[in-house]
Amino acid sequence: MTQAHAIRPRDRDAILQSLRAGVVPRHGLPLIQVGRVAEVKATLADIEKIADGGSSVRFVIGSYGSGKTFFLNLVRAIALEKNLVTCHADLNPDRRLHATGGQARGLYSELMRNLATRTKKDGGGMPSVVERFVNHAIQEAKTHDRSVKGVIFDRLERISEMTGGYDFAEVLSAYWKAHEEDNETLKTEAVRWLRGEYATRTDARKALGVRTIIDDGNVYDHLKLMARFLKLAGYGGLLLCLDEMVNLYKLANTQARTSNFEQILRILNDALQGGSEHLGFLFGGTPDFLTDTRRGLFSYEALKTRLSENTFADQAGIRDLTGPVIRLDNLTPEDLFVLLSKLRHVQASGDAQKYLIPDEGLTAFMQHCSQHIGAAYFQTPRNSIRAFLDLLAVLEQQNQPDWRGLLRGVVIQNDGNPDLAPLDEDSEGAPSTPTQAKRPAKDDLHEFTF
Amino acid sequence: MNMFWYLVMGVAAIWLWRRHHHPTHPKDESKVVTTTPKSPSVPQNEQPSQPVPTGRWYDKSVSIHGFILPRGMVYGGNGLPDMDRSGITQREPSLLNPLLPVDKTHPDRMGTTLTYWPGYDRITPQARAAYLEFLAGGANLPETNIGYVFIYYYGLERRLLLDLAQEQEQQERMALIQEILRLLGLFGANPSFSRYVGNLLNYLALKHDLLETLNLTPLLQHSPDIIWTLLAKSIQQGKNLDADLALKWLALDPEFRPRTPAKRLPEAFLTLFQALFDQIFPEGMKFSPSKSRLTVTYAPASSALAGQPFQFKSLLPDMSRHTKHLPKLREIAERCMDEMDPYSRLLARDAPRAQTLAGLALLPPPLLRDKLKEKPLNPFLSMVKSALDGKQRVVLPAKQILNHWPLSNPNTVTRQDALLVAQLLAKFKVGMEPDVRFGSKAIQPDGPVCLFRMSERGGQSASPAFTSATNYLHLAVLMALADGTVDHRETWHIEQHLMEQTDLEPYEKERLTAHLAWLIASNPKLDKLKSHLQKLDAKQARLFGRALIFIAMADDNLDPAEIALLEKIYTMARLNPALVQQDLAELHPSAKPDPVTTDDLEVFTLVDAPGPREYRLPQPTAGSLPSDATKADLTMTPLDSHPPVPDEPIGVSLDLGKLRATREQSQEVQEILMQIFSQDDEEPAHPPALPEPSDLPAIAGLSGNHLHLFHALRERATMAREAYNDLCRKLGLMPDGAMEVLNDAAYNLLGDPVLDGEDPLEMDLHVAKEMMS
Repeated sequence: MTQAHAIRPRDRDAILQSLRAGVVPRHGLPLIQVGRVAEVKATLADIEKIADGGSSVRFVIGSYGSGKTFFLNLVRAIALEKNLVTCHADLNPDRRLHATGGQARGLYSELMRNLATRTKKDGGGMPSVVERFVNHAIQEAKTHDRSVKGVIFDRLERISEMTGGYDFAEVLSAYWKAHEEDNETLKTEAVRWLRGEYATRTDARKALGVRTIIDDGNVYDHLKLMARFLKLAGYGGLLLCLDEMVNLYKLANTQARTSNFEQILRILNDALQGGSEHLGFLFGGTPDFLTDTRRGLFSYEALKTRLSENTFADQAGIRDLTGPVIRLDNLTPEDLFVLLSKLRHVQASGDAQKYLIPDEGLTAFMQHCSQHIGAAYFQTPRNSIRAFLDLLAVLEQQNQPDWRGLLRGVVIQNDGNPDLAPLDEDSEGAPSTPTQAKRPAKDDLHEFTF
Repeated sequence: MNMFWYLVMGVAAIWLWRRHHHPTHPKDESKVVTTTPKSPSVPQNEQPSQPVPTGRWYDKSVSIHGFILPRGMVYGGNGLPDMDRSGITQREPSLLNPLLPVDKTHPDRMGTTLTYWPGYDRITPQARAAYLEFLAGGANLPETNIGYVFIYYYGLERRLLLDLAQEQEQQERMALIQEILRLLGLFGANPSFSRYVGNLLNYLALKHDLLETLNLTPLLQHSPDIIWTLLAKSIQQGKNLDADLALKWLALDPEFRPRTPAKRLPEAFLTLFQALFDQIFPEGMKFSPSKSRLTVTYAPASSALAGQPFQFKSLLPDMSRHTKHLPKLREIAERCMDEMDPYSRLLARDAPRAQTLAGLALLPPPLLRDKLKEKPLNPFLSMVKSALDGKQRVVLPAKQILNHWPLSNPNTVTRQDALLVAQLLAKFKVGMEPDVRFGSKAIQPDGPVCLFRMSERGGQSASPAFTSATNYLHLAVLMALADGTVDHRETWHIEQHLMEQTDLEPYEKERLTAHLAWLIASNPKLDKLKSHLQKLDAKQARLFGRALIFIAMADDNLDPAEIALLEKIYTMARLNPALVQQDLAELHPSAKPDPVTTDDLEVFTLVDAPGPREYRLPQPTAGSLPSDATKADLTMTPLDSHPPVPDEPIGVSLDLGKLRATREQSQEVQEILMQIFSQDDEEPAHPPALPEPSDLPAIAGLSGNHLHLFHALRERATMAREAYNDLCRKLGLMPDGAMEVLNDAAYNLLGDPVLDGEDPLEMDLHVAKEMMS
């Protein structure tokens, strides 16, 4: 085992670099996690439920900068440790749950590109899970002297009956064939199909000989299929993290919004009624996305009844985490203090001797931030964290670190909420077809053909 | 107290007056650094009552302590105004104070006495001598201690940031920037120095709008501020994003990680990215400006200026938080890396082979462009071009192609070789039959191949319809061979029939026509069938025989030669030749067409209405095309399709159970046909499943070849990715999948992974050891 207190350089760099760039790190989140014990416990129970063959849906709701993305990533990290496979994606105008212009497929592709296992935490894990499954098939084929393709189809028998299942099995066996023949192109094509990157059936048929593709209409079916497949491949199940759900709220077209909400309802119903197995969803969004009765989820009556929070618990001042909604409170100054000291700890690679700034410095820093941007310094700490890490970076270069001298020079900006900006988005009536599909591909070597 | 303020004001007035009469930009050529004789070296916390600073900037040749500094570009004197020019002098590390002692006899050229924050006022007399020597030598000795370089830089920095803060001094500013760039060329290897220089230039470039005039050094080209500035300018000018800038922008994205192919072949990656980007966004990528403004900050290196970073808020939009388009760019980059991966891996495994045709076959088309005129691609393509000679397709001896190909064993062509030949040709829209990707065997070195023009590139696998059609071709050619040769008329009919198939795509028809040409040219002999036929059991052989009869009698006419051939084939398949007549009687169209009620061996349904997947045999007479109404149709249902249901019932009601049985039997026939005709080879031989290593410790969660893999790895701290892949290949495992299994076992036992990283792989030896205990 590695030493308990030492922080791996990879984790340290990932944390510091990402936070300085203003994004949530992908690694080492537990090292800088502050508070949120009840929420973590609730999602941990969800993860166990998924691994046991169940399904779950959670809406992680918090205002801008309250740490939704951080929380989603934290849950993702936990799920990976528990041998689940995770996929994550941010919704945006080109990625939605329901669409007719390729945006739902766009979301699926993004999710699958970010497919992560605990070995491939950074995503790009599709080949890994496929190979793990096929490896088992190869072993079985050897032991029982059968054809690998036959074993693949047998093992996927249950899946074959689901929507798109037959071609799914075909594509897996194409992957295996490609591996045997060292045909990297075919391998890539197989992975592209699995990631939903084919826009037309003709292309898929040319490349893989299959007749169907993953498209807008069957995205959710394929997610369910993928969850079952992952179980067969030896994982606990699939956890999907969809962030920036506010983009659905921002959709100008009512029809488009409603269709997306209907898809959410379908997912929610499936989860509550056991229509999906080994599959979990985490949706991250702002309070507007949930409760706005004009354009939020609550504008859709069926969702409103299912997602309304326990008013009795509210009145009693208790947090009820048994419902699908998890509300994230803003951080407190005390939370931020703990967070800063954790960052200091990470920056020093876990060695208290190397702390660049004493506790007194942390308080002084917070005071400085407070003077500049008021309460935002702890409520939406993104910029405070950036400034703090910049400060540490400069201190690190100094021979005799003098935090007092540098503190007055620290510039801290107020964090603007981009959600307030209008969405430069097309309406469903004129779907934004990916540019790729619009224009015929230019032929790279056309001038050299015979 | 009042007295004190009068004093301060007095000093300030004198200073301003002196400043007026000694402009910072002196016209006269100063020769010697001077100072007020009695002024001491200036302590940091100097009181305002102390003498007025006499220090100033020298921009021409200057002499001090006998050293002639040819460039000048230094501050000299006993003190300089404070940053805000309130008249308070302070320690300026770059200021050459002539009153400070210099020990010319023992110059500290190595800079051993320098501290981390050096300054002329606080270094030793020996170090001062070395520093002046460095300046006198033109500040151009690359091995100089970076501390001296920094002292010089502090001065340049101060001049640029304080004295030249206004716009009008552009000429001097450019001269100083050139000097800094010169220093960067000499001392850029020092990360600290290059970082400061880069940041300073960023700041100046944005503040004084120097991007166009500044020749961007590689350091600047990749600096975030510069890239954001370029992006912002591009937007302001209403331009779309081009590939070059897009890639630079992407490089700043913390979510983007270049993988091995991009690191191993950076230039190729750039080329491919540009090609793909231009293909997707022919007019560049449109994007809208963000509302916040780009601000650039510079934290000076000099201790005199430290503490208050210089900040400039421009009018340009700040693109640093504009992340909307990055996912699209990441996607393009990922695709590029995927496409480069096979070549990159070959390069790591076998660099010389990567230069051969077999290596080039792995390159994506845009990367082949600059190899077109060179060997080995050029002679190969010339050969193909002259062989095709303007024709649609041509049959030629395989040798003609293989002569160019770097075969590992000249007498045999492996499937891998054949695959690469086909892949390379396909990049130039030339197809080849046989093609292993579409179910054929590898090229035979002494056999023929058919090259044909493809109307579109691509195609990696056979669709079920394609596989059925190749089976049909084989049967048809076999029957056409009954009289010993296949004549033009027969070929024409078979081709005609292919063209009529509605479920074949045009590109599949092109390929099948070529397949037919190849099939005929390879002159299949019945004898070759024999060994295949003998592998069939009686039931399979009978199914095959009946399929042949269908083909033969499709024209309602069986001539004696065909019957003789059928009998011969039955004999080869160890069936009683008399069965031919029996099967004929059962299957001939004049017999009762009642497919649903025929015996268990009935395979082919006779249908009146043309179904979606039918293969009709052509009429033997030239000019007359098959007519649907008069002839039996042979339906060869692909493996996964439903059997065609006639539009109108043909007098019997269909029993779904039997229909299902029929479908299954159709599949069976397909499988038999695939087995017989030169279809896909049997599954490649796997390495044998190794016995459980009984002499090695067992590990929970690992068995079979995974266990062998673990033991092969467990003592290696690192391993190149290619070596790992080879090891997995030997064990018949897929590398990424095997890594998952190994790590899973480690996680379950110890909560930590045992294998980490991409290339090279890192093995946690500690974990490996724990796993065994």
